[in-house]
Parts: sequence; C-alpha cells; structure tokens
Amino acid sequence: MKQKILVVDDEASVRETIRLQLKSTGHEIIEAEDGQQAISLLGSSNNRGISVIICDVRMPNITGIEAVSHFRRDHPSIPVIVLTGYPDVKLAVDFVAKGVFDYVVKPVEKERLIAKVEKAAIQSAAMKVLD
Amino acid sequence: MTERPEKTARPRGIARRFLLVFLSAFCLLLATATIHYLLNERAGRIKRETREMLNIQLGKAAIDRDLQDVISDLTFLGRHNEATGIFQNDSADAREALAEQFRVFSKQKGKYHQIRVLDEIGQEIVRVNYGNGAPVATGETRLQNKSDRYYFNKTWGLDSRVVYVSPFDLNVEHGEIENPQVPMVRFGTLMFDTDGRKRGVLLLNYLGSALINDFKEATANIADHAMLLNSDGYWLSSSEKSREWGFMYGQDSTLAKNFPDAWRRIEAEDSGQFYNREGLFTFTTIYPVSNQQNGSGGNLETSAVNTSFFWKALSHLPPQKFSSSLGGFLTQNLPLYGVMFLLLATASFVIAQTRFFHLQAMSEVEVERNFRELLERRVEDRTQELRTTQEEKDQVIQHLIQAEKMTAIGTMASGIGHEINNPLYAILGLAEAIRDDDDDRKQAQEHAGKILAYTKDIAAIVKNLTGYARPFAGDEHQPTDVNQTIQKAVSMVERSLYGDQVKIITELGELPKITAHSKEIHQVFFNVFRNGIQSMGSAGTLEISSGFDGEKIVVRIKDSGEGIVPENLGKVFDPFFTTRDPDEGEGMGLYVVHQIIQKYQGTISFESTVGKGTTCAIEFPTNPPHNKEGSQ
Repeated sequence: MKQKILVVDDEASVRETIRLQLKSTGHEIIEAEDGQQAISLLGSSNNRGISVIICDVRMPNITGIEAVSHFRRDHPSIPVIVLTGYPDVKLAVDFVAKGVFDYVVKPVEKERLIAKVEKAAIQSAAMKVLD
Repeated sequence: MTERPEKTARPRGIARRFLLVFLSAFCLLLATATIHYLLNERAGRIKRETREMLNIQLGKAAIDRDLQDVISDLTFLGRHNEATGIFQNDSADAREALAEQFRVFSKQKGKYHQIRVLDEIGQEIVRVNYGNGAPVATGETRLQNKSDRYYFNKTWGLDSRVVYVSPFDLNVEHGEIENPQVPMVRFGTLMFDTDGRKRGVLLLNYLGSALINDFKEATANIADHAMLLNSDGYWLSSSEKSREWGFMYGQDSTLAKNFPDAWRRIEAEDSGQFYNREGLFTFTTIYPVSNQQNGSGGNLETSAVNTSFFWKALSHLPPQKFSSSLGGFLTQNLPLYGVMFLLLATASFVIAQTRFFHLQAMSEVEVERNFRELLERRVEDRTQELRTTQEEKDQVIQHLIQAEKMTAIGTMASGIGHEINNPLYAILGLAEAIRDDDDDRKQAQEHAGKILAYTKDIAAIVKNLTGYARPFAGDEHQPTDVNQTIQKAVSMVERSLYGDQVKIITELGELPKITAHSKEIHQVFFNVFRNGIQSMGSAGTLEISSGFDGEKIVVRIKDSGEGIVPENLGKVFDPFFTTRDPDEGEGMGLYVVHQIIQKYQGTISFESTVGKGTTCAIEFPTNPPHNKEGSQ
C-alpha cells in the first residue's frame, strides 16, 4: 500500500538517497529542507495522509529535537524516525523521551530503512484505526 | 661599619710598604756610606803611610847628606895633608900652617867643634877649636895627649883608610856634660906618611846639632812624632826634649823598652812600615859607616859594613791620631747623608703610596673583573636554566595543546560525524541503486559520478581533521597569513555547530604575514572561536574582524554569549579553569591560547558584560624579535 513519507533534512544528498532507497517501495516521498518547512507541509491540506516522518537531527533554523517536539505535539499519530549522522546516547535518550518511533544512524542500508519505514507505516495505520 | 676596615687598612698598607721600601733603600744607603767610609779610610791610610814614609826618607836623606859632607871633609883634609908631607917635614912652621888651614876650614864649614891631628902616641899635634864662630888654634903648651880616648884607639886600630864614626853623644868637657848640650859625632881617619907608614890620626868633632837640625827640617811635616834613635833605642832627636840623650844621663827610657814588639821589628828590618796596637811605625836605618863607604868615590878603601852601628829614623803615629776617624768621617759627611736620608724617606713614602694605590687600583680592577665574570657566569647559567625551563614548558604546552585538540576533536566528533556520514550515506544509497537497477546503465553511471564526488568530499573532511589532530612538527616557522588561518578555524568550528542557531560573521582586513607556526595560530583562533560559540549556547552571533594598525595585527572576536563574571576574568588563562561540563573540555583552551600568544610576543585581552557577551582582542606584532630571521 502506497504511503506518504515526509523526509526532513537540510542536505539534498540525504533526501535524494532516501528517495533512492525507498523507490522500490512505491511510497510517495515528500521533502522538507528544514523543520520549519516540515511543520508547514504537515499543516497544509495537500499533505494530509502522511504516514511516516524521517527527520534529521542537525539542521538550520529549528533543531531536530524542536522539530520532533512539534511533530509529536501536533501529529502524535505520525511515527517519527530520527536519522542522525552521529550516534549520541544523550541525544538518543532525549528523542526517545519525545516519543520518536526509531533512532537510526547514517549511513543506513536500503533494506534496513525500508523495514523501519514499513514498520512505522504499519504503526501509523494502526494509530489511524485507533483514532 | 663597612668603611672602617678600609680606613685602617689604607695607612697600614702604606706604612708596611713604606717600611719595606725605606729599609731596603736605607740598607743601600748604609752600604754606600760604608763603602765611602772604607774608601775614605783607605785613601787616608795610603796618604798617611806615604806621608810618613816620605818624611822619614827625607830625614834619612838629610842625615846621609850631612854625613857625606863630613866624610868628604875628613877625606879631603887627611889626604891633602898626607900629600904635603906633614909627618916628614914636621916643624913649628908646618904645624902653624896646618893650624891655619884648619882654622880657615873650621870657620868656613862652621860645623866642626874641633879639628885635630894626633900622632902615633895620641899626642895632639894641631888642634883648632871652633869656639863661637871664631876658630882658634890651641897653643902648643895646651895640646893634650888623648891616647886613652876611645876615639883615638878606635881610629888608630883601623888598618886602612876607612872612616871611624863614633857614637852620637853629647860633648863632655872636664868630666861634665857641656851645657847647653853639644851633640857630637867624632869622625876619625888614619894618616900615612909619604912612605905609607901609619903616622897619626885626623879627627873631626862634628857638631851633631846641624845634623839633627837638618833631620828636623826634613821631617818638619811630622815633627810631632818623628824621631832619630841610636842602635840601643835611645832618642837622639825627639819632639819631647826630655827624652833626648837619655843614655848620657843614666836614664833607661828607650823606645826599645816602651814598645818592645815594635822595636824588635824595627831593629831587625832595614826599613819598613807597620801597624800594631800601639800605632803606625815607619822607619829606616842609617848606617853612618857604610854610607860613607858607598857614597865616597875617593881613595878610601872599603871595609865590611858595621851593621851593629846604626841610627834609626822613625815616626810613630799613635792609634788615637788616626783610628778614631769614623767620628770625623761622620762629622764631615753628616749633612750629605742627612740630606740623602731625608730624600730616601720622602721617595720611599711616595713610592709606597704610589705602589699602594696602584695595587689597590689593580685589586679593584681584579675584583671588578671577577665580579663581572661571576655575574656573566650567573647570567649564563640562569639563561641556560631559563632555556631549559622554557624548553620543558614548551614541551608541556605542546602536550597540553595536543590534549586540548583531542578534546576539541571529541566535541567536534558529532559534527564531523554528521558531515562525513551524510556523504557516506549518499554513497551507500547510490551504490545500492546501481546494484539493484542493473538494467539502467546510464543511471548507474550518474550514480557512480555522484559517488566519486561524495568520496572526495569525505576525503577533504578527513584530511582537514587529521591535519588538525597531528602534533605540530618541529619548529618550522613560516610566513603565515592570519586571515587564512582564521577562515580555516571558522570552517572547523562550523562543523561542531550541530546546526545550532549560531551565525558567524567575518570581516577580514588586509594584513601582512607574520612569521609563525601556522598551526599554532590556527589553534589560537579555533580555541577562542569555540569558546565564544560554547558561551552562546545554541544561538547567537560570532563576529570576527581583523586589521593592521601599522605595527601589529589586531583580531577581535565578539560573541553574544553569556559573558564572563568579573571574578572569573582574571582566571580565564589559568590551566584547568572551566565553567562548563567536563565533557566539553579540560579547561586548557585559553591557557594554551595564552601560551602560544606569549610565544609570539602577542597579547590577548577580554572585555565582557554578563548576559551580553564577550569581546576578545588578540594582537600579534608583525616583526617580533623572536621571529626576526623568519620574517625576512
């Protein structure tokens, strides 16, 4: 089942890589360059039905943790996969506390990302049913 | 307190040297005076001895001359009248003529008390008495027989025409010594007739006073101690009248008795001069008989010298007349030596003083030199010590810098990881795409190209990081562009920002290069920038500006952070001083910065307002002494 996936990362290369890795799944990829843009996208009517958010940690303007706070507050049913370039236990704990679905360290293999995204998509669907 | 020793040491030092110099000089003066005295003495002695000997010889010569004259007279009268045949032609007329001849002769000569001819039985044939300058022939009736007299017998006893000379004595008339004294010597000679038979005796009574007067005249220079002695040591002539002719008056005072040692020598030797404890004796011997024999050419036959009959011409200078001449010498030369003594004393003092001051100056110079050497050595030691300390310090700093860098790298790691992992992630994704979409070759090539690009990005990041992490090699200073260093540091710092809301604004002016180790300068800026960013938390602005004021490069780093509380401003350069969590660094950052800046004779200062931010000013001289060689 085709899903809408929001990818939030200031690096175009990262966004493109995620797109490449998820191409085979047939999911629709929606890109945001930073947290602010992501929040805007989530609020727009065009983008209703976003199943999973993949979010970078280090970004300009709004940091990853702030962005995640927004997502969890305004869209608690959308699972958030945090994608980080640097494994930091303290940061990971912070994110888990915010209620993120998963915490993934770059670089991540295609299969592993797809598995996490599919798993998140299932949870997302389940959350929608519960709602 | 410290001057006292010098004040007493000075006069003491001068006095010691004065004594040394003066005593030496005084000894020299004393030696000179002694030599002078001895030479003087010797000259005096030679003069004295010569004078004595000369006068005695003169006295002897005078006596010899007188004796010679008498003997000539005797010889003449005797031989002349033998020739006229007085004994063959004896008559009253002949006797009268002879008397007349004697009378004239006596008057003419004035030194014969009597001139007589005695026949073989001792009867006076002719006799002329001198009287008082008016000689008178004695009348026939008053002529006497003198056969019992020693002078007749002695003369008659001769067997040739030699001369008899009687002892020198005083004339005795009628058993009484004539007064005033009439010193007398009788000269006698045999008279022969024309047949050669011994017929009578010619006698001349010589008035010895003439001889003595001549002797006294000849020795007038030493009159007070010249004397004439007979062979028994009685005085015939002396400065002391009472001593003369002692044998005539039964006195036993003789020179032989008064000075027996001297007399033994005088008696034994013909002539000579000697000193003994009684004084200086100068003497010569007069042989009346031998003298006439040697001196007469005439017809006289020679006979053996009667050495037992002699007179001594003698001078006796008692010791007190010459031995105590030291006093005289001193009296005479005292002014000279007094002046010399004073001159020596003065000169000695001047020399001592000069020498003392010279030595003192020398010793001062010596002390000064020693002190200077000591000082130089200390400075050298201290320099060496400081150099060693500096080297150790430098080593510690290098270790700290390295540790600080590693800490910084730790704090940067997340940023760096992010930066590396992003392209790495892209590469991964692209590679997966190539692998999985093997039917689309063109797409695969595109992916591969991107992979290459991302790989290069990663390589650049890694290179940058390893270059920073590597310890500074050696001491290679080189012209360093401060602006370039700032930019590198900025790019390093940016990687650790996590995407915080920190803005870095740079405004770099034109700068000359400084001679330095670029990595150390880089370290300075990196640490200061990082500090500024850390102080701002997740948001703020870091303004970096650089400029050149003609003498030095000034870099200002202004952050909008929390600021530094005043009590901490003085501690920021202390090692291990930090207000942050331990995982954000050991607190060595600014300490290291300070050390590096000091090394380049630069300065660093902070101005801060709590809650508003901090401005750090860093200055580097463009031509620090430390880097003179490198800056050319």
